[in-house]
Amino acid sequence: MKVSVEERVYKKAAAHVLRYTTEDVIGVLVGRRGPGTVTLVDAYPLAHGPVMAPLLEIAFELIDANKPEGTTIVGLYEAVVKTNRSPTLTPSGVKVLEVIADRAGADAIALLIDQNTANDEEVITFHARQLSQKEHRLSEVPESGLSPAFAMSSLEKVIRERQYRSIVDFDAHFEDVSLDFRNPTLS
Amino acid sequence: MESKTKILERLVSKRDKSASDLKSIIHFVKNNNLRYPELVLDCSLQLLSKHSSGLDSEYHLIIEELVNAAIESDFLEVAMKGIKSLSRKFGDKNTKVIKIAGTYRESNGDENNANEYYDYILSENKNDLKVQKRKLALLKTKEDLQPYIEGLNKLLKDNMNDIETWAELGFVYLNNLNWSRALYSYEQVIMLNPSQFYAYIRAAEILYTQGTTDNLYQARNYLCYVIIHDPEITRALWTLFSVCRAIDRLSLIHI
Repeated sequence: MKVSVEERVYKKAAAHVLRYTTEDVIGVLVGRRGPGTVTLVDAYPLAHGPVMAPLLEIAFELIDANKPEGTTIVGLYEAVVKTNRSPTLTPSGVKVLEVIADRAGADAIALLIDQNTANDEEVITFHARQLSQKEHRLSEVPESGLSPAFAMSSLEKVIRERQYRSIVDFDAHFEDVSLDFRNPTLS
Repeated sequence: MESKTKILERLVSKRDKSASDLKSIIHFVKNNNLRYPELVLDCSLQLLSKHSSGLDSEYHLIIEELVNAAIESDFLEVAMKGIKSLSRKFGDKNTKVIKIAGTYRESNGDENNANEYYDYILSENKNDLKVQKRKLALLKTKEDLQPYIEGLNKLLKDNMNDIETWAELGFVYLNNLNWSRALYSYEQVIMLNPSQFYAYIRAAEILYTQGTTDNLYQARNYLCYVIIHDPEITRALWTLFSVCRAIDRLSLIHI
């Protein structure tokens, strides 16, 4: 499977990570499926903490009602707080990915976001994984189509203008419903 | 009732902030347990650079906030300057200064030194719960969380009424999908302080996730309790909606 990522996804996912640097964050990815390809079109920050069924169900309903036309929920992104651990999904993240795969009846994509960067040029790095819908087995994406240079150029404005301060996830939305989980300012 | 985020937005959006405005922002974030380290850092730096002469007795309190915010935001050079200033004022042996220096070391990845600092404080006062927790937190960054969980349980043996530790234990169990133990931990929080509404909501979410009719009815009880006392907690309302919908579906199956 080939995965390509639009700028909006990098911006929102990274903003979510940068806003909550001391907590694990998770978000939902929507995109378009083609033969052997998935294009990630948008990201919806979900939570900065463990996710359970009620939040997930309501978030899916709201995302389904608001996502761009022609897209479906295709996966998630997750960032584990800066530690010595190698980038991997949390047990909770795996469960959510399985739910997404079962819901879509197709393989699901996971974007792992890592803050433990090996060099100063990349603030954070992205890694792609896919979960097979039949076996629920996680593996590397054969052609990830992730571009570190494109990701960094997308993030430049988010970091420079501190746009990440205003990111809203569903945790924040449920505290104050006037906060827009679609984050239109980052689109 | 205005949400904390909206109140903070209103405070921050004010142009040409005075020293009093900057202090209000810092105090609001601190008193409401909000996490906006870069905002606190900005405000502290502005206060210290433009209004330091008017701070008097609050000068070192602001420096302390600056250091904590700088550590959390990973501006370690700024944090170190603040720690040196506190050290000059209160001395190297001051417990608070050592504690802050310990968190600085943690942030810098120097866990061994951080551990030494915390051990020093505990040798003077072994009942310093905050430092015990800080020392335990060093285990949270490891791949294997079992020692951290064991440490939390050990802490609770000596401090059974510590709500923060029960909540942290619940959080860790939740992250590891250990529902029953997470539920037990949050129910301890509820018993210790029945006004901790977030614990009711967490417990209800766990019960809903676990499923079964009994769990759903118990979840509904918890959520109704929260909503009776504060009908504006949206998360509780949404979760109650999900629970009632699930109960409805179950009763249709049984018909």
